[in-house]
Amino acid sequence: MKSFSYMRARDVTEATRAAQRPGSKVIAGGTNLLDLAKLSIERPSALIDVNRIPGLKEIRRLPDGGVRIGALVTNADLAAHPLIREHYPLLSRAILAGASGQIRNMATTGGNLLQRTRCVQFYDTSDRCNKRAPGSGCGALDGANRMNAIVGGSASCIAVHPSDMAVAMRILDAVVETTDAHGAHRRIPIDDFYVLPDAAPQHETVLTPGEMITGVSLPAPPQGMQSYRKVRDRASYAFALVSVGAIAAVEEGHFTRVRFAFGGIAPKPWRIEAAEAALRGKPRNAQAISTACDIALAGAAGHGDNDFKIALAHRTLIAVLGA
Amino acid sequence: MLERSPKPVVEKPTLHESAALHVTGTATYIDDLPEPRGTLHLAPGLTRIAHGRLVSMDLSAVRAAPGVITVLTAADIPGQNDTSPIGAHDEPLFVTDSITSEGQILFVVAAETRAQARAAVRRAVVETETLDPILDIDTAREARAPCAVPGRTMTRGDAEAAIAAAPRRLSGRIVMGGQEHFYLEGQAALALPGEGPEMIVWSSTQHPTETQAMVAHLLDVPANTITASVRRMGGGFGGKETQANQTACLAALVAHHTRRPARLRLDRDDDMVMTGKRHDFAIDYTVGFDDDGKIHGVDMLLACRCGWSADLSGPVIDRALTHADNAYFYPAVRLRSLPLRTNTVSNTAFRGFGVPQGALAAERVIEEIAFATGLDPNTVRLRNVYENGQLTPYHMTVEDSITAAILTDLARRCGYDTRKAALRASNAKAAEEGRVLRRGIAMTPVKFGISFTATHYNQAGALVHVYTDGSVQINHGGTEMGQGLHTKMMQVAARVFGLPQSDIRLTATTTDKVPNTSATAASSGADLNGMAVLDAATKIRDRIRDFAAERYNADPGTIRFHNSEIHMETGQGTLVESFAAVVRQAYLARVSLSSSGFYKTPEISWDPATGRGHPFYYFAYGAACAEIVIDTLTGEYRIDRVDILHDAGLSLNPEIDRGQIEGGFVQGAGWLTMEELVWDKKGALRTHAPSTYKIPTAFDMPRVFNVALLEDVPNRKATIFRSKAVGEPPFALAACVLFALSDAVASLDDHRTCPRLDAPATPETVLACIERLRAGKSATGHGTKIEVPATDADPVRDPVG
Repeated sequence: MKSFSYMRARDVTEATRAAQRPGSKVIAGGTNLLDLAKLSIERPSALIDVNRIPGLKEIRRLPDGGVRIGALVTNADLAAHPLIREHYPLLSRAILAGASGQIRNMATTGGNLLQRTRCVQFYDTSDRCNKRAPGSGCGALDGANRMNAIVGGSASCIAVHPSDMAVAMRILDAVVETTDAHGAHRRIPIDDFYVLPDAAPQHETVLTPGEMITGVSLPAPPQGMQSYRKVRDRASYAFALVSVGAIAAVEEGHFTRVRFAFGGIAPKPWRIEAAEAALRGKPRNAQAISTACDIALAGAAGHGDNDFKIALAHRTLIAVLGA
Repeated sequence: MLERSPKPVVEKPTLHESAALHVTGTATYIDDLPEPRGTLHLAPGLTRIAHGRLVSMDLSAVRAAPGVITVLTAADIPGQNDTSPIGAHDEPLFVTDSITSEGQILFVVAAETRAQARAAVRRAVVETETLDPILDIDTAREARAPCAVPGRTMTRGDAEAAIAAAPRRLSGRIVMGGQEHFYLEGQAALALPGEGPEMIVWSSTQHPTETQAMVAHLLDVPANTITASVRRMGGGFGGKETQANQTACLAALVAHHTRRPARLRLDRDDDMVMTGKRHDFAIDYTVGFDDDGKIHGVDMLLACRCGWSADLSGPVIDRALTHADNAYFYPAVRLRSLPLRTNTVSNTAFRGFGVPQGALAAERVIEEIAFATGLDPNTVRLRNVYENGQLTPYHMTVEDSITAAILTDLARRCGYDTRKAALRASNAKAAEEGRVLRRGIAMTPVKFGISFTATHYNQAGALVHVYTDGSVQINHGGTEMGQGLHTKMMQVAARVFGLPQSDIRLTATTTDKVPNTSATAASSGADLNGMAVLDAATKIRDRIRDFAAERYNADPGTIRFHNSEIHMETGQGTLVESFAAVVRQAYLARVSLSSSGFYKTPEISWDPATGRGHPFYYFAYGAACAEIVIDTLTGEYRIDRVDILHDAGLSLNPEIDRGQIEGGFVQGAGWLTMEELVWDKKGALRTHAPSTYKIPTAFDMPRVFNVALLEDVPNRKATIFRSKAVGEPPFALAACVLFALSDAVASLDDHRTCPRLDAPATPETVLACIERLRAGKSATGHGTKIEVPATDADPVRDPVG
């Protein structure tokens, strides 16, 4: 592990200024960054500890019926919060489907959004990975790719975003709030927050150097039954092969409103609004759901080990939305 | 603190001797030992191809790397470049020419820090020539590759004729995967050079005597110069029976050359790539039977992947053969083994040592007969279990069979019949309503032969000292890997001396205290070492008793060691003296208060050439029943309930035994369900970390887990306080999980077809099995089309919302 300097930031301004310097990394729960640093995948020269910055651990109700979640709210606290459990059970379930109790106690909301992929080649420093070592190639395209993406990838990277929480956030139209080193604030819809891998898959979000997530706000929850279903190799503790989050309202056997998104199959939470629109007014049956899934997964392609994910995504969506 | 108990401390659930140390993080493992001044840290350079030849190796950049003190290869070995535990000379420590697996050792780097050593390894320039590897059982059979060890045949009667003459017969194959040990503490060693050739090697090893011998051969020094020592391992499971040797040898070689302490703790990924695993098997079976489900004859071919060297494959496969009957009598039988050499890690000992594999095939045969006859599998089981007096395939008479009683008792305790009927009804209803969850239930027994098949291994030594303050120190040849062996040994000594367990001190297993020990393996640790401790402690106690009789003018027959006191009947009445006071007097009277002890198992014999004999002193028995639920849409499943009834004789420590039963069962369930080893086409292990290799977590425990020990059934043989070995047998109980999954899958075509579900039954495998059954059911071409399903309760849903 490379040696690094450590600084405890007193406020957002101090943190963003320090984090702006090359080689600096913000650390909150450290549940991902420390692991990666131990493996020399992340090699920060300076850690900016934001855990003591006041005001970032609150969950509060917004006047419009929504909720604002501070960036340092832990996954455990967020999942257990009465407001979330009552109005956004999808989010509670998604969070509790991920990691272990110990990790959820440490991991934060901002950190969860920024966690790196668990792609095998990203972790194996002896293998090729454009995300870890830009220009070295992608070892997953022709290697072990069971856990990799079937949509949204590129010729340079087919890593998936591992977060369950982010899938729920995407369905809930979350807005990521940030502050940069110059003190400028941004409100970034979560779909715009993540960038798909082009030739430079090391860039995963639109954050600029030093820019820090300060919170996430959710609009008032839409009508409908919320659910989250995660399919994985080990039911108790593993990353998703395919996960599906959904909010659906059904009247007289027909979908009136529906939103859904996938995890485990793409470099970001995978939600295609056109697919949702295709379900509106349609009968709640497997055929209609499968047709919508085809739209959501347009252009999907397996890479050998992960071919099964296309069928599994259909089945899981049918299981979640079906009667 | 333990309470002082007035009663003998065996048969009591006393605390694990290191429980407080474990939970406070103060129990020392090899890497926790204080680092002697000048310690070097090592990292091995490994082969990255599975088969080929080493053309050249340029290590100049490695030597020039920061912090590197030396880089050693085969040329630096003063003695033998060989770590074969059976003298097969087919397991070089370092590759010199031929490469026969990924993860073989090319060289070792010694540097000032571990990070420097690991970084330096990557600078090696290694040129190799690649040959096509033989990676799996099928390819090895097709290639007619030479066997790793000779195959063996066990026969009794004319199996072919019996099968041909039977009213019904069937054939099939069961395939089961290997398993990574996943000990929490990886392979680790610390070597400290002493005067001249002397060296102490602290090694996380189950077999210190073998580690000592390997290091001595490597350095070309006599065994009396090397001491191998281990206080405890953070898990072994068989993975440190032979596989600890290479790590210890590397540390010793560096210590020898540099005269500095040398420490190696393998990186987890390297550990998984380098070290052997459980043997995977493909077993072909043919069985002749009748409409009553009675077996007439069995013919099996047990093919397994041994990896690149013999290691312990011979004895592992012998155990698979001797347990391919599990608990069932085969009137005529032929069992053949095919131990295949492959270009993969050299497979080795793993809890059960071939028994779970052989027994699983027997249970598949039972399942097949049940489907063929329409009988309940339990009925088929009960009609075929051993009766006392019947002969095993290796011509040993079974004298202690209690399988029928255990199966019947467990079925009653867990309500097997009523629950099975209810499950069938709920599955039928689910099918009617188009719901996707199906439930399954199965019960399997185990009969596990206890003793090493290598007869000479069935011996043990102990060393017991009583100090003048009355405190007792014991040492024996067994090793502690968390299983509670040391606790049981302390209980034995405590019972002999009439002391509480807390007055007994147990010290690290070390070859300079008790020499020529056997591996702590084959579940034999407590059986063998317990008797040796008993022998040593009894000798001292008898000397103290004789001294006391003389000193206090007491009748020796009345002297009792009890409650830290010695009670005697003298001419003046009952005299009670403290143990410590009498010991002090004995010392002053020049009575020896130290003794070694020894034990060898009686009655056993084994002729490997003919596959006949009396290899086991006795059998340990048990049975388990599992109920599971599967999601037919995704193949996911959950173990809802498990009931176990297990035979530990008169248990030395019921709580420790319960821990072994629970842990063994869950580890077995992991083997049969989620643990999957994947090698790619080039022979590289792709599942070399917990990210890709899944072992059960605490949350994978059965929702309901009822474990009971058979009570008041002492071992018929004179084992240590009539207890039975308990380390491995419960592992094989997990077979019921696989057959419960199979039962649920079979419901999809009304139990007409045996699903022949193979292991590991990952959700993928279960789903494929479901689709196979559905495809077979309708020949109208539904194929793999997505079935119209309906939502059901999610079997793995979190308790939220």
